[in-house]
Amino acid sequence: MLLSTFRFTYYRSLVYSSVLKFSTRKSPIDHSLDHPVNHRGSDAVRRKTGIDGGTIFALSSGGGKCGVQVFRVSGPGVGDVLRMVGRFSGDPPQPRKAIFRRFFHPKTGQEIDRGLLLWFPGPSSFTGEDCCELHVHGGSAVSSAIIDALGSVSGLRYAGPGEFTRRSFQNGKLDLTEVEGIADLINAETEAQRRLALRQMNGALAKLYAAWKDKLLKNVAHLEAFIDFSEEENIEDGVTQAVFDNIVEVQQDIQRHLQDSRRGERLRTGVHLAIVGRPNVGKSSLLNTLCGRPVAMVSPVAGTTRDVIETTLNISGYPVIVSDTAGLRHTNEELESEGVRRAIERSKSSDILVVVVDVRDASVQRFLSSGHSSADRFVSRLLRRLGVVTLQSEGDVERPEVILLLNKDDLIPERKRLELLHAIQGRSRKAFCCLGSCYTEGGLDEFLNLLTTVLQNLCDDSSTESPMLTNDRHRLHLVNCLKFLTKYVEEHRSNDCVLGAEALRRALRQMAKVTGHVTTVTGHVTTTTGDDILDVIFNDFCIGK
Amino acid sequence: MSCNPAFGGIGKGHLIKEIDALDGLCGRICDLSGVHYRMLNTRKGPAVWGPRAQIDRALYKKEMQKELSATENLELMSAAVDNLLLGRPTETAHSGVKFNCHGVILESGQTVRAKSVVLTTGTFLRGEIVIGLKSTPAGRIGDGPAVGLAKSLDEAGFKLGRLKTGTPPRLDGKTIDFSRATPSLADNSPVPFSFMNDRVWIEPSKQLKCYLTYTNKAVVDLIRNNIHLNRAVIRGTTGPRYCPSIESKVLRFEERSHQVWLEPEGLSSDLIYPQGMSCTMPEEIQQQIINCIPCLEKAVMVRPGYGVEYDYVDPRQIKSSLETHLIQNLFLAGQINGTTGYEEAAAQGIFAGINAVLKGRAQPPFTLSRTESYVGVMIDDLTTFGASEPYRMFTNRAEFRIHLRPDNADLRLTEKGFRVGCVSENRWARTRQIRDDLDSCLSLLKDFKQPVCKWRTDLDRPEQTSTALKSAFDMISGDYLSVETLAKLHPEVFGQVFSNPVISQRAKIEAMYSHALDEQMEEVEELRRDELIQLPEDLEYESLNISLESKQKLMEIRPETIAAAARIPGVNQSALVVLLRHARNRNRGQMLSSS
Repeated sequence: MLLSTFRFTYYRSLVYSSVLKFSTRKSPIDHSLDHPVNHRGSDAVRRKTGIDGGTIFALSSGGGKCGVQVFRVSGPGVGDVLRMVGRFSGDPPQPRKAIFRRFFHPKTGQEIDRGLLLWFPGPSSFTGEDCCELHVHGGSAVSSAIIDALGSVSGLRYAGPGEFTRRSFQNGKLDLTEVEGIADLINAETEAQRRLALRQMNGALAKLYAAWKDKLLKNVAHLEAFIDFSEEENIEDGVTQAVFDNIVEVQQDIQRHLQDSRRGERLRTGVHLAIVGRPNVGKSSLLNTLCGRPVAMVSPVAGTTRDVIETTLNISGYPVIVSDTAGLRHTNEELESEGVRRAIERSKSSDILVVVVDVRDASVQRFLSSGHSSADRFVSRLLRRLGVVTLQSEGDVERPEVILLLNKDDLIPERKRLELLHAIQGRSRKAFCCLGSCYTEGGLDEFLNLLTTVLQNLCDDSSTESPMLTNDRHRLHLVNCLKFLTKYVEEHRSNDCVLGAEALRRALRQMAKVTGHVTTVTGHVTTTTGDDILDVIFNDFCIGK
Repeated sequence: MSCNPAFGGIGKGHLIKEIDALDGLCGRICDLSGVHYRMLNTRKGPAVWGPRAQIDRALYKKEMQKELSATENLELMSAAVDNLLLGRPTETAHSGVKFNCHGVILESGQTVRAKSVVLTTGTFLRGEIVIGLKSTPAGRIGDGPAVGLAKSLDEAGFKLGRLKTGTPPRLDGKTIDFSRATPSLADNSPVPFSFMNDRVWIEPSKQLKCYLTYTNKAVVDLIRNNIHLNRAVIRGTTGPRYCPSIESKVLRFEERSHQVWLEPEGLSSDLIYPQGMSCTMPEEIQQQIINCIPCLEKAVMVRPGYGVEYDYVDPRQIKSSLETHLIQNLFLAGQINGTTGYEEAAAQGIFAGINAVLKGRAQPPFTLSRTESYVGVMIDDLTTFGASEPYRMFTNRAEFRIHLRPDNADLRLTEKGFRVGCVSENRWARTRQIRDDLDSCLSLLKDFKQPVCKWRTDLDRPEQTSTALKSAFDMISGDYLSVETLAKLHPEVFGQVFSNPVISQRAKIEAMYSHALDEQMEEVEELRRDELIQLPEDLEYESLNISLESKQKLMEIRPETIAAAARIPGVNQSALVVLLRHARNRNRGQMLSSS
């Protein structure tokens, strides 16, 4: 047993440890700060990122060992780069055509490398400004020489995080949801994330939000027409009722979208998985087996793991943040009891709970001998006894998915093992249960299959291809929008439709913030949507005397 | 009044209240000349109530002239202005300023010198009247156009545009069968426009009626069959979408029947103004169209409707004081800035007047923010977005509609007006009195608290044990408790303050909106902060590292604050950040609108 825990296997087919650095914070507000592009409109954030024009450059391809690396330059100084690094005199090269070129250091005059050069005059470029790309050979020697060369051109500086994308947004090349799509694409290192980011960049989300915005706009306009014109004009009766019905529809749509079990956000930031169980059932061994390396210290002494140990894995293309926790038991030892408290806390905030049970545990024996009680009940009883799920939270929507792993099956007779396998499979309706051994690694394929199924349920929207909510900023504005829509629905019953209209106008502004087509200086919407509203009014009603 | 014989309405009524709060005349004159007063939108919230009145045209003119001739230090002259008296700009002016206006030159060649000049050309600037296929140069029927002045504005470098508006035919009331039209009655207790008046001049029962009738299929056919005879429709100059001619309404919404309001022109006039029938068809077709309409089968047309096309100055060329960027000391107000309507014109008139005086006295300009007035909203819209069609006020243009109400225009503006010198001592004293009465009423309401269970027994509602305290102010904010009931329940506390109906109504409105207002205060403050960040008038946009489009827009509009710059379409975020570096916080002492 002791030996077994030190045997690490690399599950290449399904699992490999990755260099992903996902944020482990769950607060929707904090999280977005971890991303290079941030458009939440806060003054402080903007000041920090310092948008102040100038010409920027950056290594746009991944660094390190590679065949080719790409440098991008954007801004009014691109002409200088062409002249000084590319040594073009007179006419600039033909736009958007790859040209083979030798690159020189402007100060020393030394040749650095040979490669391809592309010139994209603004506004027909990614950022809308003049741009060029240098495709040079891989390797850090070349990249540092190029960085030195470009940096020596006066007015050029290395780009801040996401600055290219921000410039394209500011120059009207992309809308905000698309920008965030690109930012996520840059971060996406796993297959599932790449798919989602691509879909968002193609504008599926943008389309969804635009449709809501249009619907809100139309109904705001109709209510406004009722306020400004119904007294003297032919505004059809029932226009306010129609507005109410439509708004309730939008309200429900947004509500559904927000309750997508946070699928998109999980995919972007990682699924939280916690391994819990009694002491010494093999939780840390499971973590190490999954990682293929000794992340957690293991020993036969109960209570070896004191704190939560966290590591990020790629499982079947899904980013998963795995937490190993202290074994759950009553203890008077101060340090260990703090570990137990943390373990319970972590188990509550997780998306997936892997409960590890020693197959020889008395409860397993009771389950087996009872002959008819369901595996589902067994699992929920087990959770209660471990103290990780209280009765109240059982009905909770946000309750984590649970996978039960009956570990150490190599330590029971084969006949008993088969009997147990038969029981958990035959008597389980919903519960995900499996039997295996971290020592022999028998049954762990089955465990990973179960885990993959759960991940799919959590992250993929299998029913439709509808875009998922992937961004905290979207969620924030959508929640606000929903708040105002609800206020409108409440006000609808009162006599004063002005208050209802006010709520609706504010809901529309929140929706406009999602697509980012509003100008902000100190973080508030200064663009009046007034003219859009009037356009709808005059289109839909015959106003006039 | 050269178009319809009515003042006010939704949004427009708000403007009259604000003009009155600044001691402008039109509200007070309307209280002396109305023949049919009606508060519009009473079934909606008080924030969008619209005071409106049919006005006796002759009476209005008489009362207005009486008031003007009694005004001290006012010299009235009537003559056609042909040109501006221009000189070199002062040395301190920035490079965008081309001239300095010293007065005007009349048609007779005589010059009138002035420290500042306000142009209010109405529809006269190269005005052209259109009836059918005929077009005649004229400012309105019977008056010649102002061609010389248009030329001089053109030559001075202003970007001019062309707009059109129209007026319906006038009918002989004696030939109309009113018995089959739907009458519309005036209010039993007319509400005066002016904060200075407690009642209007007319006996409520002596008010005139308006009538409503509808167009029908025959009207549609007549217009369709004769559309080739209509120059205005063929040419398609930009007309207002909300005041379309009957032709354009019929062409766009063919299947509908359209309202026609029959409005009296006055107590001693038989003329009827058929509102909704603005028309530029040939005269004989107009007569035929009219006779298709129920009640108007035998109606005789006294004067045909016609369209007017005229020049206007793109208002992005004026500052928020209504002074032009190009010519110092020249102010523009009214239709010349692309607006339509008496109220919009009057609001700009008083505003330009105030600023013309301040300029003459070398004092800083008087400005009003979007957060405090409809006048501010209008001027900001005009100077930022320009006018692609005649601009009319609607309540939906105001972001802070629940604050910018007709009932509190005096509290919003009168003190400011008094400080700048346009409000009389008398009015300021009255406003102070109202303010103090209202304040003490509101504190009474807020201080009077009793447990919810007590309120419920007071109001005969099912009993409840809640002992949470609720103030009278909270209670009247909803629909459950009226001020009258409250006064009856606790006469010892509220009997006296609620004996003043104006104060009790205003208190009720304050309570209704107080919660929503609190919620909006943050947005108001944010916008005010941006409005305080001032951009220097001589900012060299050419040298800034911003996008070409932003540069062009900024150079054209020359916004005065960051808030204004942020609203300009095409000015992007990075440009704004660059602008912030060149902006400075407005000196508070210098700011007249801070209170």
